[in-house]
Amino acid sequence: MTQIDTPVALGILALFGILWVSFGWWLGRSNRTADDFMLAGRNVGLAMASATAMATWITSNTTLVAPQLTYQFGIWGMIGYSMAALGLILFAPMAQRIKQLMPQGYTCGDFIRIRFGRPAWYVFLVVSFFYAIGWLVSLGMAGGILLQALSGLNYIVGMTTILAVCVAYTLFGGLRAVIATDFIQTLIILVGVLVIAFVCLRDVGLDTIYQSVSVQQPQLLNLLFPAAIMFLFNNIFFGIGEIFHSNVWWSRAFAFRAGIGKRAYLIAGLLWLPIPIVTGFIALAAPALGVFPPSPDMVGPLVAAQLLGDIGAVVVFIVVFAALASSLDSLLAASSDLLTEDIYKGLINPGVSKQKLLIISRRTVLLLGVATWLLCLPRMTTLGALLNFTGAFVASTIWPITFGLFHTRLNGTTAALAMALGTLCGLLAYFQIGFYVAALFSCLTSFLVCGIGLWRSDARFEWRLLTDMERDNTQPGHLEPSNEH
Amino acid sequence: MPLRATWLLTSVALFFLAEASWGLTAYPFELQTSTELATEGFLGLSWQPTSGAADDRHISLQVATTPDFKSVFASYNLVQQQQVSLSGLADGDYFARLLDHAQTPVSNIASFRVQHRDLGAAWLLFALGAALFSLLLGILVSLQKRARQNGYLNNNGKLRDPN
Repeated sequence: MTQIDTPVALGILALFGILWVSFGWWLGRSNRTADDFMLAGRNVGLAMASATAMATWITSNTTLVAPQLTYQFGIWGMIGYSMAALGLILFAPMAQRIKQLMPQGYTCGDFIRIRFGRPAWYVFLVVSFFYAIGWLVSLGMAGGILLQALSGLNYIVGMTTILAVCVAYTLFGGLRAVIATDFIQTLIILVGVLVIAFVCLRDVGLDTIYQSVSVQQPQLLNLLFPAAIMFLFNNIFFGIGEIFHSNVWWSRAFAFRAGIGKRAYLIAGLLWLPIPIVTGFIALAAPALGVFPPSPDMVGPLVAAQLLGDIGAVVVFIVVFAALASSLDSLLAASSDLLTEDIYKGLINPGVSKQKLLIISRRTVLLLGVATWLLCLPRMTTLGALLNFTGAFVASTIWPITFGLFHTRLNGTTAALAMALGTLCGLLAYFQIGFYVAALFSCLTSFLVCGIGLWRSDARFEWRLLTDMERDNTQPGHLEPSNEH
Repeated sequence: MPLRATWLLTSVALFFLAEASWGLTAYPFELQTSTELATEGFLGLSWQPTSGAADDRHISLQVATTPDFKSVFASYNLVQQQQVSLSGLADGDYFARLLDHAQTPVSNIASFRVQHRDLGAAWLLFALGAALFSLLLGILVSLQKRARQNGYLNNNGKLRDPN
C-alpha cells in the first residue's frame, strides 16, 4: 500500500488545521449571542445552506463505508447506500414546516418536549445521544485509523489532531464556521472523488472491472443476492431516521433563512445521490488492481492509493480528512446545542440569559470534544459496530416525527411507545438476523404503534404552543379534545 | 510397580515425541476464518506465525473448492498483511491455505461454507420495506397537503387561526 511520508502528513494536517481554525475565528468575530453561535444568526443563504447539508451528509461513511458496502453487497450495496439521499430529499418539506412552526426554535429536543411532553422527550434524548456519541466516537476513531493507515502516523496523534482542529474552529466560530468550512470541504471532496473515479475508469476500464469481479466476486454482480436485497430498504430507513431525528439537520433548518430550507435540502439530496455510486464504484476495481483489503472498510482508500500512487494517497488523505472534519464539526455543534438547550436550559437553568447560554454552549463543545477523545483513546473496535447498532434506534423516530410535525392527533404516550418498542424490535432483529435489517424492523414496529395510537386517540395538539416556544414543562403539550382540525 | 513405571515412562516419552514431531511438521502460520458459515458471502481470513521468525512479507492466499486444491478458485498475492477480507462468494464449500513465494504451503487448510440466506425471505423483507416506504411517501404528501388546506400556515409561513 502506498503511504505518505509522516512529515508530509503532518504538514497537510497543520496546513488545513491552521486554515480552518483561522477561518473559524474570523467568521466567529461577530458572534454576540447564542443565536449567532448556535444558529449562525438564522440567516444562512441558499448556496451555503445546500453545501452544508450536502457536506455534512458526506461523512467518513460516504468515503469509507460506501466502498465497503459495495465490496460486500455489490451493486445493491452501492445503490442502497446512495438511497440515503432520500433522507435529505424527504426532509426538505419537513425543514420548511419546522421553520414555520418554530421560528424561534433551537433544537429537535424543543419540538419533542413541547409536542409530546416529557416521557417521549426522555426516550428521544436517549435515542439522540446514543446516536450522536456513537457517530462522534466512530468518526474520531476512523480519523485516527485512516491517518495511521495512510501515513504511519500514530493512531492517538492522528485522532487527537483531527479532534483538536474540529473542536477549535467549532469553538471559535460556532455554526457559522461549521457551515462555511463545510462549503469548502464539499468542493474538496467532490473534486477528489471525481478525480479518483476518472482515473479508475481511464486506467482500469469497465471491461476489466467486470471481468475480474465476475470471476472472483460473482455475487457482487448478482441482483438476486439475498442479504443485499434485505439491505436496500434497511439502509433507506436508517438514512431517513438519521436525518429526521438528528439535531444536525434540525439546527440547519432553524439556521437557514426563511423560505429556503426546502430547496436547500432538495438540492443537497439530489447532488449527494451520485456520490456513493462514485465512491462505491471504485471498490469494484479492487480485484482488477490486485487489492485485497485487510478489512472491508479500507477498500476505498487502498484502491485510490493504488490508482494514483503517492499523489493518490495524498488526495485520499485530504478528501477523507475533509469528510471527517465536515461531519465531526457539525455533530459537535448540533450535540452541543442539544445539551445546552435541552439539558442546561430545559432542566438546570430555565431563566438563563442568551449571553450566558453562549458561554455554556462553547464549554459544551469543548467538553464534548474531550469526552469523544477519551472514548476514542482505547480504540475499541466494538464502537465501530455501534454505528450499525444505532440504526435500530434512529429508525424508530421516523413516524413519531412525521406525524408529530403534521398531525394533531398523535399523543406523547404513543410517540414514546413507538420509539421505545421500535428500538427494542430493531435490536432484536439486529441480533437475530443481522445489521442489515435492524432499521427496517424498528421502523415497521414504530409505524404499527403510531397507527394504533392515532386510531385510538382523540387528542388535538395546538400548533401555537410550538410557535410561542411554550416553556411550561409541566404541561404535556396537549389540549382537551375538540372539534378543531 | 515396575510395569506401571514402564508404562508411565513410555507414555511420557510418546507424548514428548508426538509434540516434537508436531513441532517439526507444523506450518509457520496458523490460518483462521472469521466464521465457518458465511450467510452473506463475505468473511475474513487471518493468520498468525506459529513459532519462530517467518518471512510474511510476500505470501499468497489460495482458495479452492476442493480440499486437495485441484480446483483453485482464486489466488491472492498479499504483501505485509496478516488478514484479508473476501466477499462476493457464491454458495459452496471453500478451502484456503497460504503459500510462500516458492508456492510451498505455509499454513494449515482452513475451510468455510458459503450458504446465502433464503431468497424468498429476502424478497419478503424487500416487499415489506417497499410497502413501508411507499406508505411513508404517501402519508408525507397527504399530511403536507392537509396541513396547507387546514390553514395552519399560510404561504408566508405565518400561523393562521383555523377558526
